[in-house]
Amino acid sequence: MVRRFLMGNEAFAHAALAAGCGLFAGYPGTPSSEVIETVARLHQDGSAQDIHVEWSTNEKAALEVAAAASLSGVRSLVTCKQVGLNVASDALMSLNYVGVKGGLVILVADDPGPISSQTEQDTRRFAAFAKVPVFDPATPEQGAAMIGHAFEMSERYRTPVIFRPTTRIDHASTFFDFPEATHPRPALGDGFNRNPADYVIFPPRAYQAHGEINERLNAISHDLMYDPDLMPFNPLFVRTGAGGFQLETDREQAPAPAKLGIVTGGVSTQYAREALRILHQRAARSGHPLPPLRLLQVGTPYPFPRRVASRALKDLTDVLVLEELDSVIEEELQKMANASFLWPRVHGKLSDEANTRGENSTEDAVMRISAFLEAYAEEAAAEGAASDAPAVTRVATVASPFAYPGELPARPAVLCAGCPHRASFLAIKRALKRLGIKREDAVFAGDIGCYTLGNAAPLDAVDTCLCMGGGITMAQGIAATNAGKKAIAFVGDSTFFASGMTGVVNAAYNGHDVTICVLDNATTAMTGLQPHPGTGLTLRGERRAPVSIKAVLEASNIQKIVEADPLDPDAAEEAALQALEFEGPSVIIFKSPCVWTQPFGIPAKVNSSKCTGCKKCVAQVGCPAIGFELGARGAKSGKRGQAVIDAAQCNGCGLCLPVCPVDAISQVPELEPQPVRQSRLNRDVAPSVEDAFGPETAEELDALVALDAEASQDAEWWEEDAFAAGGSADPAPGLATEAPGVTLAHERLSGIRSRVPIIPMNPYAADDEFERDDLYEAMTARHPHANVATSAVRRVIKPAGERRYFMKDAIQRSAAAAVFAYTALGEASQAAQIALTAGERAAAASSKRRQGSPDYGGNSELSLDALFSSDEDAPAHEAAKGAGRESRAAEEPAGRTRHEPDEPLDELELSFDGVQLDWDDEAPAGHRTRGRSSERNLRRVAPAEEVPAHEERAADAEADAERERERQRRAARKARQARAAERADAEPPVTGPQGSLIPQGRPAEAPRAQTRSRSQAPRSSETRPVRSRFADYGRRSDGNGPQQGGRS
Amino acid sequence: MTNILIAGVGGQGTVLAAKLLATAATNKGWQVRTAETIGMAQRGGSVVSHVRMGDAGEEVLAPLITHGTADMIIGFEPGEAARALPYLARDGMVVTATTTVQPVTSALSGQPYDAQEILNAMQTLLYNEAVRMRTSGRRRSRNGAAPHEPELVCVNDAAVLRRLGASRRMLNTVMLAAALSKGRVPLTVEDLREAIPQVIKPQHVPANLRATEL
Repeated sequence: MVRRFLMGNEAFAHAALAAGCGLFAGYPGTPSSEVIETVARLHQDGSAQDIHVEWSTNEKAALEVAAAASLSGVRSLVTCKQVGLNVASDALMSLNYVGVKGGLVILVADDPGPISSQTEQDTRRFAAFAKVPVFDPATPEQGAAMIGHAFEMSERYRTPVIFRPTTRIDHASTFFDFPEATHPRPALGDGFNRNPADYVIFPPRAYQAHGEINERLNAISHDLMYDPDLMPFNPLFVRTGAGGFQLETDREQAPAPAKLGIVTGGVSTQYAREALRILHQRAARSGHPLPPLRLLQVGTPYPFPRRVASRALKDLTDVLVLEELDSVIEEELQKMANASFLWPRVHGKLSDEANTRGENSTEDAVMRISAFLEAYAEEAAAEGAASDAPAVTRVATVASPFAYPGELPARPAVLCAGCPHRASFLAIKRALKRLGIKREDAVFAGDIGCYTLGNAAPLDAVDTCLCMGGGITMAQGIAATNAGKKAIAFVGDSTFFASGMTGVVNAAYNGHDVTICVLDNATTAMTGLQPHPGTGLTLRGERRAPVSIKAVLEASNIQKIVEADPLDPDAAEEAALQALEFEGPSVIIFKSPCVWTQPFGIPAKVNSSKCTGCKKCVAQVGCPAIGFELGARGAKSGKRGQAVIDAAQCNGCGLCLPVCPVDAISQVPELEPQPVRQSRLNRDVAPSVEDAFGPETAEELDALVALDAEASQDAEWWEEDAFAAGGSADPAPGLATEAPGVTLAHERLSGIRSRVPIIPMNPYAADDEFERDDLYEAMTARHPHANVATSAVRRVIKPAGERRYFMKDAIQRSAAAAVFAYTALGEASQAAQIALTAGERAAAASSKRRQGSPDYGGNSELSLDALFSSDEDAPAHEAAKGAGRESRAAEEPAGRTRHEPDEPLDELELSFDGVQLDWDDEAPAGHRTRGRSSERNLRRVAPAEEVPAHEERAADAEADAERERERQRRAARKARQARAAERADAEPPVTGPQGSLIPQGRPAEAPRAQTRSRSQAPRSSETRPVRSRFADYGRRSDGNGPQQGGRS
Repeated sequence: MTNILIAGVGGQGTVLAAKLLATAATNKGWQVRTAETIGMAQRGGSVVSHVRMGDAGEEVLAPLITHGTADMIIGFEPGEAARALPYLARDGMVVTATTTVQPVTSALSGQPYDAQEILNAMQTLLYNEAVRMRTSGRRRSRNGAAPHEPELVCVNDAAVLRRLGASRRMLNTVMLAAALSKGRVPLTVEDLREAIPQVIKPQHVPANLRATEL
């Protein structure tokens, strides 16, 4: 014997094997599916030998297979759920008349609630209807004990026997002892012996068999009273003097005196016992002990153990019946009242003193029992039963001291991330749209399976769902009676075989114009990935030729059959179109395996620089891996928040990629999972348009630009640190606080930032906190030419996205931005100053040139206006520019500006004294930025002259060397960071301190090791010269350009 | 009777966690029952496991924990821990992870789903009850031992898993170890370590044992 921790279903499987059962057949159905799976597992590992176990096509097939096995003398077990018994009922009803030889037990799992079924039907009634005995366990242990006796009863009386556990017993676990290995009991009578008189059911035989059935029911009832082996299944508990309930063991004597009784069935027995324990504890505390009670469990409700009940209820005045589903026991007790003069009053569902639907629970039992005691115990006491102690004085309830004060979003089951059914539904919807058929004019007849979950938002792709295989035939009913509507049926591959094929034949034979979508995911997914005839694999691991759904359809004379991979949206849509347009029954087979049978694909990632927060991915696809972060900020999404894909959930199906209107979702193999970012903005601080935006004075701008050199290096490091910490860093990016002369500037910078948290000059800030609309508004409010400068700035500082890309030319960008800003302010000398400060004499020279400065001696016609106007519509622009701010204000709606659709952007080539800067250099393919109408103000600068070959090669070599150095620096930085993180996390996780109302900040963030790593990093310009980075982008140089050579 | 409720999202390993606790309890000779919601495991729904152990030798009757009698709620996700609060006893403890899994309904509706908000609300609730218990003057407990105060323990599961270099699959072991180390239930981390090789496949045992070291 081996001790194992088993769930109820597993225990029943072991019990059946221990009882010598030789054949197991069934169809998956929650909560019964684990029985057959356990048997198969034990068969595979050799502990259950010489048995046959199978998943049959449906429950009817399973019962018929088992029936014949039983007639051959082999003990057989059939498993299904309660609605599955409906499918097998034809066989069951007749089988009782034919009789069985080897024991046949039908395990039917009921589902009070219901938790995962369409009905709350009570199999005990079915047993009475079929005149078949039924066992109803209260615990998994009792059920395991019942199984052996069920087989014996079945053989002794030649009747099928139903064993009916419920969900809370099927899925509850405890420890069991079962034999290590089992063998089936040898077949009775050496196999099938011909006996057509009994085995062929003709009406005369049925009449005779009916008599046999009536006799055996009486005999069974007698056994239930007197057979000591069956006594534990209708146990009587009596309250002893010391309190608490004890199982009565001696049925010879009359039971202990009492006036009140509780009769229970199934798991309600345990709820009632737990409730009585609670009531007893409360009674002991309050000094009002409970009156004497008897508790009877009816574990064999049909045939009803009348003698057991009449003995147990002797001399009682009132009984309360607690059972789930129907009032089976209660009605039996009511019937018994007819037979005796003295019979207790029966209280329960019929008198509205117990739940009439849904599950019972301990809390409910406490309330019902105490109400019962309160109502009737006093009466009993008043009638002179002085030995009873004072009664319960009030109705007890079980309170929950805690309840979450807010609303938690529901978490229903949804189609898994990557599920091909989602893609199939979307393909059909798109095809209908293309055909101009509105959703209201199409009826989606669904069926039982995972795809029923397509009912939920946002797919809303299931209009009806009745029973297994019902979708195909209901669609035909719709088609026959709704002329203007398109009827589409959805059915899974397993359901197709279980009960869909007859519906398909009906469509072909009766000529219904329906489109049937077979969602073939090569498994029975909802119940736990069981195989079925179409998978080519059996439960025992044997391979078979798969039964081809297409062949079945062809044989059923369906004229239009198309197959498609739903994860290829175009092909799927095409297939759907063909089938939908076809007149007459048509079938689309969407073939794509269930994600749980496949390895994970490459997870998708949302590009936060492109995501506009339009939520189309969330609203259209509804994949659980796509979350929406309200606090996330990106270049294009303003305050709307952004979509974020959870790489741990994403299966890489690629369905969301084409849905995004701006191509923000991609599947890139080498990208690591994107961390879910919390917003770094202080949400209470909103940038105010009236506030000064950006630098107020030239000195401030000075300071900012001076800080750029430092900050750009810091920002990159800080940013990587922040991401490593899960994006939870501090809103004010940590700037260099230790470099000399920077402190003051930093304060001013933070002062500015605290008013308006967006500083376009700081590359990090622009990356993360860039809000284009605020930027635009603030700048137009301040500077007459700011609109132009704004566009320049906006163009220059590319909306943050590929962070690597941005950081590379950060200095270049900030320098150019500074140049433009000063140019806009009309301070050419300052612009020159900035350029020099940033290390760009070329920029200075060209700005001087543009201002017509005599230093350059260049073309004085090149003015600020010329620089920013377009050649083609110069007159128009001249006129517009003056009124630029007004016109723009007029054309935009008040408040927030809207995003315009993507426009391809001209390459902006800025020439600083001939040094060409390619802004789009190194941008990833397909990278596009938003354009606004003001973009046309910027014009292409005259193309650069030829670069001498040797200089170009030298420049390239220089660039390569620099890139290599950068890579090394990054690697060193990462290692530093990892060590720091390790040190930081060595501290134990922080708990909310007792007594504090709010946990300290975010729960348990590691201390900021990042600051340490940053301060240790070299930051002086000797190691990170600014100008060398700028030179990466220079294609040529001359005397005025960046110096060649000598740079490290 | 010790009642522990494990609440999480399908796929986080609540069933295995319940099995580990049950094995640890049986090793001490107690009767134990567990009950779970299965079927939601692969579809991202809420899953709850009830673990009941008769640590004073008493019989465990109902498979489900009665409302208001859970000594401990172990939450693998903060929202699910909050959803399970009706089960918490007046002197119970909530041990929860801090990483959220956003439900699809929340993404669709645009309502924020924030760990901080949920944890704050739970902390306030439990703190208020603790204050009430102290000021009421009457100290009662169910088992007759000195009553505990309700408490919320937040485990930074992301940091712990990162430090261990472990995948998300170790979350359940980490949370169990964190919960048992608090001393509220008669099981210890040592009992958990004993139970791990009895339940978990041999190839994963070392990683799980490492995960129990906080």
